[in-house]
Parts: sequence; C-alpha cells; structure tokens
Amino acid sequence: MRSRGMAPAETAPAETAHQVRTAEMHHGASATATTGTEDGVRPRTRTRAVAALGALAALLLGALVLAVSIGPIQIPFTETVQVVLGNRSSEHASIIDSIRLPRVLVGLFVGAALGVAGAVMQALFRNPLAEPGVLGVSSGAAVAAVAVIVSGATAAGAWVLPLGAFTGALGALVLVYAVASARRDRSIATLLLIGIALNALFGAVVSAMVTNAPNDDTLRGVVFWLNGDLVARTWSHVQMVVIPVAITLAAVLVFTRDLNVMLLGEVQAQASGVDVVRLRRVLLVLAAVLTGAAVAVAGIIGFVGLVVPHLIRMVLGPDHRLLLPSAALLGGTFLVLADLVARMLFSPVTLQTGTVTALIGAPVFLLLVLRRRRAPRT
Amino acid sequence: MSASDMSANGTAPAPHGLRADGITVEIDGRTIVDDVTLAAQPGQVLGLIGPNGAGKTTLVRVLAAVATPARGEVRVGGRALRRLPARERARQVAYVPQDTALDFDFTARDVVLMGRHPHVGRFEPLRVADHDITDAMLAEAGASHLAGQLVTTLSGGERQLVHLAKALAHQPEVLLLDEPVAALDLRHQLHVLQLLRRQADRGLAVIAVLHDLEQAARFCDRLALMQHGRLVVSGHPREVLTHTSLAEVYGVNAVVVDDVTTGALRITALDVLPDFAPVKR
Repeated sequence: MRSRGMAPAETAPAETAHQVRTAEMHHGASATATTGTEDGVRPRTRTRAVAALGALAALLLGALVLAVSIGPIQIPFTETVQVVLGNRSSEHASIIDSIRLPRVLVGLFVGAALGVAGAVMQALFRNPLAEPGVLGVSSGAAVAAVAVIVSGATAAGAWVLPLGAFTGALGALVLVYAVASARRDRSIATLLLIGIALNALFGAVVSAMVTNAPNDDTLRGVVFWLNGDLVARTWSHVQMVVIPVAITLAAVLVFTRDLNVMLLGEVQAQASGVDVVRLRRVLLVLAAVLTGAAVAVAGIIGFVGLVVPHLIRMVLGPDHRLLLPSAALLGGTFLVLADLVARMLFSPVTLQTGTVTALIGAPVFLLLVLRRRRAPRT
Repeated sequence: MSASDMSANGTAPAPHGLRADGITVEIDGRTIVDDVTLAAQPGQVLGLIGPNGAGKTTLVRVLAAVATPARGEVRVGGRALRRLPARERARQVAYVPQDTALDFDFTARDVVLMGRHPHVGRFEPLRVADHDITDAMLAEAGASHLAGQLVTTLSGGERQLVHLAKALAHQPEVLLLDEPVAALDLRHQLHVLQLLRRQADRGLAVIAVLHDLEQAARFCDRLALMQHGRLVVSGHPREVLTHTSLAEVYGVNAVVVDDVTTGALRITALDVLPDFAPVKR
C-alpha cells in the first residue's frame, strides 16, 4: 500500500513557535521540489497574528482608560488607572466606580459580542454584508422589549426588560427553524428568506405597539431602546452581560477552523469533513445568544456587527483564528469610543450610542465598499 | 476477471475502493441518475464519460456524499458512506468540484491546509506534519509557486490546481474529480492527468469526469459511459469507445483507431448523425 504521508501523522503537536520553526528549517532543507518562497510563512503568519492582537488589545485598553477618564468631570489618566486597580483614596473613585466603569464595561462586552456575532453570521452566509440581526434575532428582541415597556412590566424589576429581550432574540431563532423545518429545508438561502420575512413582521408589530403607546414617557422609553444606548448602565447590567458573552465567545472560538472551511461553500465544507447542518445550528444559536445578550442590556445597536468584522477581514484577511478574537477586541473598542463620542461631542447635549455607531459606521462602511480591493494584498 | 466477479457477488467483499449500488437521483420528479451501479478499485483510474446532461456531475456528487440519492448506497472500504461521521467520510473520500470560485481572500496555501481539517480534532492544534503535507501536496499538484497568492486573484485553472492539492491533503482512499482538466492549458492538463495516474499507482481509487475521450482512453484503466442518467456500458476503454457506442450515445459517426504514439485510441468524429435524438425516449 501507499504511504500515508510525508511525515508520520501522529507527530506530537507543535506547542511552541520554536518547534514549528525547527521543523520548517528541516523541511526547507529536505524539500527540493518546493520553491523557497513559502519558507518562513508560518512564523511570519504567527508573528503577524500576535502583533495584530497585541495592537488591538492595546487599543482597547487605551479606549477603556480614555472613556473612563473623560466626562463632565475630567479625571487624569493615571488616577483612573489607579482607581481601577483598587486605589480608593481618589476623590473620583465613586464616579468611576458607580457611573463610568459599569457603562464602559457594558460597552466593551456588548461591542465584543456584536463584533463576533457579525463575523459568525458573515461566515455562515458567506456574505460580508450579513450582520447579527439578519435572521430576525434583533427585531425579535425588539418585539419582546417593546411589549415589556408598553405593558409597564418594567416596574417589576430591572431584569424584566433584559430577560424579555433575550428571550425574544432566541425565540426569533426558534421561529426561523420552526418554519424551515415545516418546509423540510434548512439551506442557508431558505433561512435567510425566512429571516427577511420575520424582520418585516417584527418591525410591523413594533410599529403597531409604538403607535398605540399609552403615553409619551412609554414612547420615549421605546425609542431609546430601539436606538440602543449605554446611558445609566449599572453593575447589574455588567453582571447580566458578562457571563453569557464570555462563555459564548469561548465556545465560538472552538469553531474557528470550521468557519474557515465553511467559507469554501456548503458543498466543499461538507466534503471537507464539516457536518454543515449541525455546525450551522450550533453557531446560529451561539450568535443569537451573543446578539441577544448584547441587545438585552443596550438595546439595538447597529453597524458594529457589520463594520467591525468587515474592516478586520480587509486588513488581516479572512482566517477566523485571527478574525474572531480581533472582532471581539475591535468591537469592544469601537463601541466604547462611540459611546464616548455620544456623551461628549455635543456636551451637554448627548446623542444615543446607537445613533453614533450608525453615524460613524455608515460612512466607514461606504468607504470600505468604495475601496473594496480587487488586487492582491501584497 | 473471475476473482473480481466473485468478490462482487459477496463471497469475498473487496475491502477497499468505492462501490455504488443502484444509485438513483430524482430532482423535481425528473430522474437525473437512473439505477447506476459501479465500482472503483484501488490502483485504478475510472473515467466517467458521456454527453452533456448525462448525469455525470450529479453521480459524482452522490459518490462524494454531498448529494443524497433517492435510492442506492455508496460504500467505501465496505462501509456505507452516508452513515460515516463527516470527518471520517472526508478522510475516505476527497472531492474536487467543477466550480471552485471563492470570494474570500485566503492564500492558496490556506485552502490546501483546509484539506487537513478531517485529520485534526477540534481541540487539537495543527501539527508540523499537517504543514509538511500541505507543502508536499502543493508541490505534487504543481502549485507551489501559487502558495502565497490569494485565491481570489488566481485564474480558474490555477484555482483548480489548488483545490486538487487540497483534495490530496485529505490523504483519501478515493479521489473524485469533476472535469479536473477542463479549465487547464495543455501542459497543465497533462500534468494533472499524469498526477491522477500516479495517485492511482500509489493505491488510490480515482474517479474523474472527463470530456476528452482520447485523454480518457489514454489515462483511465476503465471507463463508464453514461447517457440519460443510465450507465450504458463500462469496461476497458477499447470495449467502451467503439464506433457503435459513439454513434448511439454521442450521435456521431466516428472512426476509432489505435494511436501509434500513445498506444491508446484515436477518435475522429467525422460527422453528426442526422436522425439522432439527444433526449430520453
């Protein structure tokens, strides 16, 4: 029989960059058939990934310090860092602790969740224009949230609205699959069509509830929620968003290589050993949890899930091993900074966070579309 | 012949290779593939030939388990392919489709590396061996010079070479190809056909949809001629490509002679037959 490969398949995993490099040198010396050009590709790729993630993490840290420091009362950056690290002696400790930090942290987790959810949806639909709400998850959350606000159920407790929105988000996905099952067809095109229909339906239901809102206060609450905002977020919101987002992000990262193969198309993915139907179901649920958790604590914030993964793909390429963590970091950074702009740009008049993400996101997105590269990256 | 006939009857089931029994595919009530039974042995190149619309592509999709037949079963190494887990299936069978278009900016090497997907567990990192196999298969497919280039910038033929390298990186028992040389220039056609020959000699069962009958005769051990979704005849190229079969299936008046240069067949279609009905009767 023919040999099963150039090297034994049971070689121990390459844990360190050093091992990889050693193997490469060995390979480069032994392989005469290959040209020398791909020598060193792997260390370079790895270095590039580490550098990119490091830069994005530094950017996020900078944005966090900036957003906590800047406000109606300016706090020096060093003082901010000290307070966050546990120094209680600062006169600004209570502002940071009870107002700014929870708001910024909610922004961080919501942005990270939306960035990753968008990247996952774009991969599953093989379309860089897909976004987290494409299957009706966000508008499903909106129906539930608006119902909660209009009915006055918010009085029962701070957790009613987020829980309702989260349930609405997952309910929308269940509905998509229920309709698809009735047709015995779970192809991605069918899911997309069902999502379009549900988005329209949910939008109409929301409109009906809004026009029949009992009073102006309720209406204001609804509009605020529908545009998305981070104002008055508290530690209880942080608690609500941290656990589902952290767990789900970790789970999504397990599927990075599967997502890469999915980009080859359903047929090639299936032929490459991906159980396409099951993978899609798992990832749609995870993306819905991310989106639902984000929407639950911040309302509907657009453009983060669309622009952030798109931007990263253009600069760093489509490999999800790098794309997903980058989308989490940049998504968090983008939303924290957008919220800062919303608070401060026209101070004392504040904009809604969701308004600012759209105001920044839409032009950036247009720019990306116009600059869409068709030539080689190098 | 008698030994393989016996094994086909079940007295001593062939342990390797691919076997398809009674494959029938219906799409919207139309029968696209009609009760096709065929086998590909390790070490052999089986050519699937037939006029446009004969059902070759659909049959190959069933053999690759990316399409589900209405009836029939595909077995690899004696096991029903569709009952294998996706990962195990991809270790047994690799498939190069006709359409290899891709919208995302992966390098050619990234795509070939994806051929290792069925060999690497979800919680395992890629190993040095996976990278080595990737480079070796790029070289085998004659695509090493494309390794660092984005697949979005490659020509159709170059992309086909990259996908061929990816399929080889599966290290499969069975290699399925849908018109692997259709988009290639003369040199690359020959390169790929010789590559298939070489892979078969190393013990793979290779099944390729081919359009050029002379190439099919020269590089395949056996041919399966399809028409209207049915398998008309299969066997040695000299048994399959005859004046009569070419008239009945392709509707041409063709001369089939020995090619003194290649030792295979030379087929010259002299004329189209006037009373040929290309649709199913």
